Parts: sequence; structure tokens; C-alpha cells
Amino acid sequence: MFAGQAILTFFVAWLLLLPFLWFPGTEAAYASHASNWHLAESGLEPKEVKWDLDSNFNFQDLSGSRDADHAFEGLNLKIHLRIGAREKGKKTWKIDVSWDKGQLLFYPWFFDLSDLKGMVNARGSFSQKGLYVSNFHLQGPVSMEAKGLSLPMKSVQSGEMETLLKNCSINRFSMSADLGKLYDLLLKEPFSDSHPAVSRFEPAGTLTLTTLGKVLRLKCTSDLTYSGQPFVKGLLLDFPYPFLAPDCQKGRISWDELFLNNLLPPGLLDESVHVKPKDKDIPLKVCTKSLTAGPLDLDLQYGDICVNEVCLDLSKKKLALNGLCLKDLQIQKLVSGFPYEMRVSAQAMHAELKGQRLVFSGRIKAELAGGTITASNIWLEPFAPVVHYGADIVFENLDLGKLTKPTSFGVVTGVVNGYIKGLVMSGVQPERFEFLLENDDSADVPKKISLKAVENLSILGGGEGSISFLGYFLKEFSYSRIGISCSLNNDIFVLHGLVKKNGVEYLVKRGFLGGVNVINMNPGGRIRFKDMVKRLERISESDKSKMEIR
Amino acid sequence: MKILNLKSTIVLLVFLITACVTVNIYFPAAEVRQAAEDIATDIRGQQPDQNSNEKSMDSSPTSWLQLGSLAYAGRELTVSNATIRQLKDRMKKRYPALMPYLKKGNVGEGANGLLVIKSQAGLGLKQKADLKRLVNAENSDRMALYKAVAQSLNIPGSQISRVQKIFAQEWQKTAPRGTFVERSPGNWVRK
Repeated sequence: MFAGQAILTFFVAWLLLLPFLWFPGTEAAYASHASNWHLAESGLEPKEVKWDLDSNFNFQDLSGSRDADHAFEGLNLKIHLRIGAREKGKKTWKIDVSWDKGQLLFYPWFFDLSDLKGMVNARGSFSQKGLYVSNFHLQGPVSMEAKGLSLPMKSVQSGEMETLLKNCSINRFSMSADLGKLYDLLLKEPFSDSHPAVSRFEPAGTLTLTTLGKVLRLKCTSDLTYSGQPFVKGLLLDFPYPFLAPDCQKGRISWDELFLNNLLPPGLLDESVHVKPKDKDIPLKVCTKSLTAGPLDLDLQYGDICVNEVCLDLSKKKLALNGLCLKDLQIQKLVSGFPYEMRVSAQAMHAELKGQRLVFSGRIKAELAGGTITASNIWLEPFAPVVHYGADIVFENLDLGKLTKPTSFGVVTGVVNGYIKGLVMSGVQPERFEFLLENDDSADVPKKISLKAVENLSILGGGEGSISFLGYFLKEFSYSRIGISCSLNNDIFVLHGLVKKNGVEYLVKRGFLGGVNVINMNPGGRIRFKDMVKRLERISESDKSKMEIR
Repeated sequence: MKILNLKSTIVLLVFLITACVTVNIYFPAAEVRQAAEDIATDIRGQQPDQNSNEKSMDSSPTSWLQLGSLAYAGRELTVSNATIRQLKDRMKKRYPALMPYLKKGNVGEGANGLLVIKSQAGLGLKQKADLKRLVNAENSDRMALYKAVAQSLNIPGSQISRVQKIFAQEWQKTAPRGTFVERSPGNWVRK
């Protein structure tokens, strides 16, 4: 039996049997008219070259399921199907389907069709060679139109989507949809529980999909808000996907305004900062299994962030950012309330996604308080259930006077070096680190510490200050060495002084002739995370704290 | 005499090898259990059942070293860090939505520390979708939690299933009446 004949017989059998296959509770009205058909030995066969089959179905409360994840319930559906032949070997078909009620589950997606009423009209022909859709029109939550879709019979029979896509051809396809509604249906509702950030985005705009030859072109214009605040204004995405062509296509992405501060924790980025791309368009290169975007140069008003290219290779499951750079970011102007003059820069960095982790090669350097801070081994886990990031940080020749003067901690002078090794941040909170700070003995600067700083160091370490009798009447003391190590792991800080003498551990050690000692009196130096937070609150709240005189 | 020496050497070798293996399988069960108890209680806002006679599969020391760890456990048991706090917060917020499904027996507490959909009878498609999303989100957070706890206690990734089993017991203890609990793989009972 020819394939065309098989399909035809299937269609007819389906039409005749369908009304009797419903589940309990389903109401169905069925009317059908067939002309020029007879039952032959090989099955149902038309009697003449010209024949017609016209069927109307009206289903009420239709339910069914393939498995727990794929089901429909309470579906009201009207179908009008017409199949016929006008000449030998060529059969035509036409179908109209409309729905106005029901629920559809295609996990993780759920659709309430009462809110998504719509209809489909399609017509075409079929023969031994294949199935041809001359016209397809969908009107509903999205509007879709296709013309001249040709599916070779061998590809249809294979049942494989990839083979079908490779061998099909289409003259014209277009789809348009309200982006906000589509986002809610396809992303926000199904993925908000597992990815809460998805629910904070609200796009408003339109999305269109069209085919031109063998290229599927997605165009999107949108304004995007995050947690109710504007995030991107005037976003334009032109994304040509060569689904049937081997050649890569050129696309672009651009926007009018980007409000990066609304995406960051409140108050972190100064409200006056507006981020603009230096070039209006960011070029895209779209291939069948890879995407390249860039170069991208963002002007932050007080410095630039640039990326030479972002490469996504689906065949190798690889994501890389090449030529990352930070150009003279003036942190005191970018971050609200940041009390220091600090300039940050980085050149020719590279980042690659390894598992869940985006690993950066290269260093970020910052100039602060006459010294430098260098961050290396930087990484970020942006897709983990809880966003993590970390680095190793080394600081050199920091002027303590410049660091402490703008704060309420109390003034300490001197030059310090140190590091934060294995810093792991979880959201905005530290999870793990090893910190060490010690003064540079070789630096030719006065080494003084104010009474307030002594008191606050005592609070922080749970220790005590030891000031000589005469010194107690002063507001400032000299010291010979500052040395502090602190680690955080498992919500426990372990704080130690680096100077140890006669079984006493000093955070600050006075000189031979006089000055101040700050002694770590906490055995083991263990401080719980919550206690440390309380101590920091005490430091910022109280100007005076009690101190034992020795 | 020579044979005796050979036997002694073999015994000694076997002892040494077993001793090495014992060290390798060291697992801080007491710390994990304490963490599980703290976390489950914190999320579900109730004290664990003190009278419970349920014996843990990991309750007996697996090595001599573990006796040391129990002594250590007396000093410091709480496992916490920024990741665990954030995961706990999310799970705490989700629990009121999950509780009715647990009580009705739609969702059960599995022996591997993950939720299992037991029955969807009487649920509409929307509720089925909501329930599955809820369970998947909870299980994703639970797996992240087990990894974070294991990392905190320096437990290798290959031992995470043991962390899961210990947590399963705590989830089962603190689950509301009516919840299906899987006492051992495949053995489900209703609380």
C-alpha cells in the first residue's frame, strides 16, 4: 500500500472512530459526510478520482493524558476537517480548530485555555511525495502564519524532528506575540519557584519571528524592568538563526538606556550612574551551533567595562568571555557612600565557564590609600542555586591613616600589607576566607593608634586594651607592631594576633618605651558569625566602650 | 617458625590495610545529624521528636576516629554558613505552601532526603503543575543544602548520599501528621 494511501486510510479511520474514544464525562457532537467511498479488501478506498470527506466535531469537556506530565482537561474544542481529491494522486485537506476553554499541562508549562482562546486554520495537500501546508494561520495568545511548508514523506515517516527540520522547506513563516505575556507563560510561571530571579523581570514589548529563505529571524523590542524598577529601556534584539543554512548570520543587540544600579543590591551603585554602550549596536554572529557577541564597551561615566567578545559554543558546551577589561573605574564616584578614592583597572582578562563556574584568568588591580590591591583567581557561579563568587586578594603598602580617617573606627597610622586568601562570597555575605594584616616595619611613617581605635579593636577581638598609666591621659598612642589574622569558616571567625610573647597574644604591641597593647583575650579566638555582626554593630553605634586598664 | 612469622606478617598487613580503609571511610555522622536537626527544626519551626526511637543507620561509630569526632561534637556541632542560611530562608518561605500537600499525602519524604510526589489524586492540572514545580524547587535547594553541609564538614562528594540519608530522617521526624515517609527504600508508611 502506498504511503499516501496509508495516511488517507488513517485519517478516515480516525474520523470515524474518534467520537467513540472519549473519556467518561466527555460530550461530543459529530457530523460527517463522505462521498464516493467504498470498503475494499485493502481497507477504505475511494470509488472515483474525485471524492470528499467532510467532518465536524464539537467536543465539550474533553480530557486525556499521555502521562503525569502531559495532559489536558475540560477542553472545549471544535474541529472542522475536510479531505478530498480533485485529480489523481493529489489529495487536499483543510482543517479549522478552535478552543475556548480547558487546561493544558505540558510540564513545566501549564496553560489555562480560557485565558488563551484561539483558533487554527490550515490547508494543504498530500501525496506519495510528501505533505504540503499551503496556508497555516493561528490566532490566539500568539499570532502565527506559515505559507508553503513542504515536508517530504520519508522525513515524516522517520518521526525524527531533526530529520524533518533538515529536509523541510518553507516559503514564509511569521509569528508575533506580546513579549510580556509570552514571558509570563513560558518562563515566569514555570521557572519562578526554582529560579526566583526570573519572577523579578518584567518585559514589555513585542516579539516577532519570520523566515527569510533558510534563516529564522527573531526580532524583539522591549523595555525591561527588574523588581518594578527600570532595567533596560529601548532594547532591540535582531537574532537571525540559520536553522536550515550552513552560513553564519549577522545580528545585533542595542539599547537606549541601561539602569545597572537597579539590578545590584540597593544603594550599591550611585543613583546618578547611567550605563551606556559606547557603540550603539553590539554585533552578533549567529551560527547553527554557536553565538558570538561583541565587542561591547560600556561607559559607566566614571570608567569603562569592556568585553571583546562573548562566545557560546553549543556543540562543545562552552561559554567564554575574551578580552575583558576594566578601564579606570572610579569607585568613590560609582558606589554611593564609598569613603575612599579608589581606581580599579584590569586588562585582557579571559573567562570560561567550567561546569557551573565562570573562571577568570588575569588580575584586577586597584589603587587605594597609596597602595595597591590585587585580585586574582576570580570566579563566579552565576547559575548555582545560590550565587557564589570569590577571589584571592593581596594588598600592599596601604596607608592606614588614609584608610581609617574617613571612618568612625578611629585613626591608626602606619603602612600595612596583607591578603585575603580563598575568599568565597555567597550573595552579599562572606562564606569563607583567610585574612592577614600586618604593618610594614620598613616604612618610614609614624605608628600611632587613637584611643577610639584601641577600644574598637578590643570590641572586635573580644580582647582588652593595655595602656601605660601616663598614656591613659592621651588620645593617641604609639605602637611597634600590628599583626592580625582572621579566618571565617562554617560561620566561625577565628581571630588571632600575630605577635606572641610570654603566652600573651597581641593584636597591637606597644614599643619598648611606651604605647598601647591590645591583647587577644579570647581563648582560641573563636567568634560566631552572629556575634561578630553584633560587635560590628556595637562599633558603628557606640563611640565609647569600657576598657580595662593594666 | 617461618610459617608462623609469615602468618604474623600477613595478619599485620591485613590489620594495617584495614586500618587504612577505616580511616578513609570516616564520616562525621554526629555533626551531620546535629546540623540536620538544627536545619529541619529551623525551617519547620518545631522541636524534633525527642522520644523517637528511630535509630539512625549512621548512629554507630564507623571508626575509632569517630569517637574523637563525638568528643569534638560536644564542643561545636552547628553547621552554618552564608549559603546554608540563604537556602534555609528559601525553604522556610516555601514550607507553608508544601505543608498542605504533605498532610494530604500528595507528597512524601523519601529515604534519600528528597521529596517524592506520591499521589496527585483530586488535584486539578494547575495544582499538579504547581505541586511539581514546588517539589522540584525544594529538591534542588535540598541538594544544594546537602552539598553545602558536606563541604562545611569536609565530607567528600562521594559521601553525599549518607548526608542525604541522615537529613531524610530529620525531615521525616519533623513532617506533619499524614505525610508519607519512606523508612527504607520502597517501604512507605503514613505518619
